[in-house]
Amino acid sequence: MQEPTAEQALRDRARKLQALHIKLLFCPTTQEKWLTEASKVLDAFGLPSNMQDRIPDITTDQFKAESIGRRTLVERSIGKAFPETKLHLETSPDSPTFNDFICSDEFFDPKSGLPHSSGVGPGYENISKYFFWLKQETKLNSADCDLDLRNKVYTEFATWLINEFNRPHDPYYDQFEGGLYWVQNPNENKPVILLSDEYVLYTLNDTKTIKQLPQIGLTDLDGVEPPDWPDEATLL
Amino acid sequence: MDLRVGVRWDDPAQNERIHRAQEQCLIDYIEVNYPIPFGSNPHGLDIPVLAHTSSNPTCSAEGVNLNIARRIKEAADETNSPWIGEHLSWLGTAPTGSLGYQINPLFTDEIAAVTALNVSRLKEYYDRPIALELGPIYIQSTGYESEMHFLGSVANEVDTKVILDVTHWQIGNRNLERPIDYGLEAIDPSRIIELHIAGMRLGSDQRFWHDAHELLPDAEVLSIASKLIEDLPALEAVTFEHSPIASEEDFFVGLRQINDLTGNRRSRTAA
Repeated sequence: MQEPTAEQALRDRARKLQALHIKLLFCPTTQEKWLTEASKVLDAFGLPSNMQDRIPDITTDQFKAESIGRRTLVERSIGKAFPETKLHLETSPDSPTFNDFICSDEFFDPKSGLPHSSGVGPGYENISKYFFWLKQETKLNSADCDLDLRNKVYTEFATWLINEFNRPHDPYYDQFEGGLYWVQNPNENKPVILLSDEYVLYTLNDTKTIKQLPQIGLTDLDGVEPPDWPDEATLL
Repeated sequence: MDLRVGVRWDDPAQNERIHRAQEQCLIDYIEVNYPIPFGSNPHGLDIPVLAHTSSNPTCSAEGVNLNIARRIKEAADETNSPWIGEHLSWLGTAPTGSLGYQINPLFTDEIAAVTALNVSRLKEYYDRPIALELGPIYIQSTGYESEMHFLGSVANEVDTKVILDVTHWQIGNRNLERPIDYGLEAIDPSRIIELHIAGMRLGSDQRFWHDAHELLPDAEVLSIASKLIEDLPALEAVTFEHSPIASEEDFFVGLRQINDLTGNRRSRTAA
């Protein structure tokens, strides 16, 4: 096996410190673990215990202010895109929480979201990451899903996608021209909900009309997934 | 060198007010924050451009995304920007993407070494000078005496210029309960080529200060900027950062305040 170069070793050490510090800034669960078992957290991030002094004291008001500010920004943007979903989740016991999302691997993984409408690639917003994460956590495309939640989440995400389509956008968003549709109940073929790119919401019951939707180029929201985005080159 | 005054450009919604500011000889350039929105064309304003970006995580162990760097290089080449402004920051933990607004790195030896490598490669790639800038600070440095010492050290090592964001600097000093002038001595004054000036606000906790481009610069920031304009030997540009959604009246008030600070050092080149 080839020995890592000095730069690779340096970057590897820095990468682990970067991952830990950023996780501590966002995730309350990691913060709690850090306060009780810092050495275990260091170990989980592949760092030796003598690196603990690189991490600031997370009990200070300064650290808390920065941490709260960062979390609030993400929470606000998600709440703005998913207001009805947020209310629904807040009043449903055992629902996934915002903390669950912000501590999840999906939040930190740019490839778990869509390419940004500005053309800079995936992972530059948190709305699509949240949608795919929540869809998976609450099994929104399964037969026994909460239909009311499904309808709220899909309507709000489709609205967000149409917003992105209606402003100057990355070609990825061209597929949302005309609008998006989804079956109201994953167990049944109809009715189908259609949100047009002019924000008109239709409920379609006619089988012939429903069959025409993909043929005229409309997108099934259940088929929208984070694309297999290639790894981009870096100036290393 | 004559001093120039400019404004940050983020959005086409600013074009009209910027055009009027140019007509009134209040600005000499726009500082465009790349990458810019699809379909926008600040270069069409026919006003000199300083290239800037908040989208390169120059302190990241993952390096800098070539797709983003290429967009910035192309814009800087097209506009012949005299330097490119870059932030000392992380954006997340992956080679691409951003978790929100820029994340201050850990100010440690490892991160300084990685930053020096990243910035030297960017500088070579751009084939153009780089000016480094810090964000607003909340957390005490764990490796260097302060973030200002980290900036000064990296700038010296890679031989870059420095953008001193007076507002960010003062936010850091207030949040960490340091004297007003703390940290300036850590930066070689001959490297400071540009000042950024913007508003700041006290948070609802009545304790911590935050960047607030929707507000006008406060009196203390203007007073400090005035002295810096007098004292800094290599200063070439003063950029007013004002939100596209903030009032146009405030935009012109802020620009006139900054013009008043520059006195005879500014050569009015606008039409």
